[in-house]
Amino acid sequence: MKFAERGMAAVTGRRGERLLALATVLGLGVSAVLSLVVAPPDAEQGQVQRLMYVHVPAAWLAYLAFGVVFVASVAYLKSGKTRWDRLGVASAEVGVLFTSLTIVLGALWGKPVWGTWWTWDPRLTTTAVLLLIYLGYLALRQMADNPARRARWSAVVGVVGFVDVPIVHMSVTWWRSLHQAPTVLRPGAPTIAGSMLAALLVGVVAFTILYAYLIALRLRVGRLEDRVASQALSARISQRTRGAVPPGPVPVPDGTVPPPAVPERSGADG
Amino acid sequence: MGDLGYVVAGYLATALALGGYVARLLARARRARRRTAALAGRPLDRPGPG
Repeated sequence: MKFAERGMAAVTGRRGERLLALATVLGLGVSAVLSLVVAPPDAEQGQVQRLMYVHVPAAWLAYLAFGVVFVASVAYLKSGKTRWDRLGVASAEVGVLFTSLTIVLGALWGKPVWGTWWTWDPRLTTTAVLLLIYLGYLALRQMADNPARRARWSAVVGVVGFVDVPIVHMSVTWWRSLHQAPTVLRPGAPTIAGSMLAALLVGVVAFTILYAYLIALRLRVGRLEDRVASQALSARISQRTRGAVPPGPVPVPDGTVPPPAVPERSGADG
Repeated sequence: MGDLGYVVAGYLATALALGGYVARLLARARRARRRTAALAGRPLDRPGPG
């Protein structure tokens, strides 16, 4: 866990964040050229198959994001360190974004190919359930007013909710599904042409770098917002000790009332 | 909508969603930095309202 914490600190530093931003722009640029220019149109689906070069990486990112939520949730429940809670919520937020994108892109592909925007197919339904689970995770955080309880409850949802990820992936194998079976993550060799596979894999790599950048940025926002809450609380305690202010929330100078500070149960936090 | 229309819509939706999220995060970071600076600069013993 110490190694993971050191790695996280290196990647989420300002220098690491800038490098990730640069790598993301480069990666997405190369991916766009490969998927829109180099890869040929599909023999049966034509141009619309190009949507797969963003749909599949977005779905992969959703799996990865919720996997990270699971790991961060287990780590939080074990250590009680705020940084794991921050990583969990950051990854859940990014995961919800990518799951929503996966569904929208799938619908845009489904209309011309399947003749419908949506159908209650096992893969689509389990993906919608996945989205609802993590929207629930984020909603739960808004409901709990005690920061330690909020972190604990959401960590439990982060662990239990991950059960749906393998169900989503295996749904096309376990049940009769309109959605196609795995093309790359399957036993044996991938069943698509080399240039198409290259565009797909570069897309997956570019989106993974994008994920790392978004997490680094979201963690920085989390740290800054926690610092604001902590400073506002210190100011309020200090003022109340001197009898300068009556009981009640103290607005910060821009007129808003900060949320309560997140306490650190153990260990130093960065 | 032709096949290319779906492709354009898909790539546009992706760019807008990701760009919008990054812009929102950068705005939150800026706002938090401003609040931190404002709180740090405020004298703690300044009399409050009431």
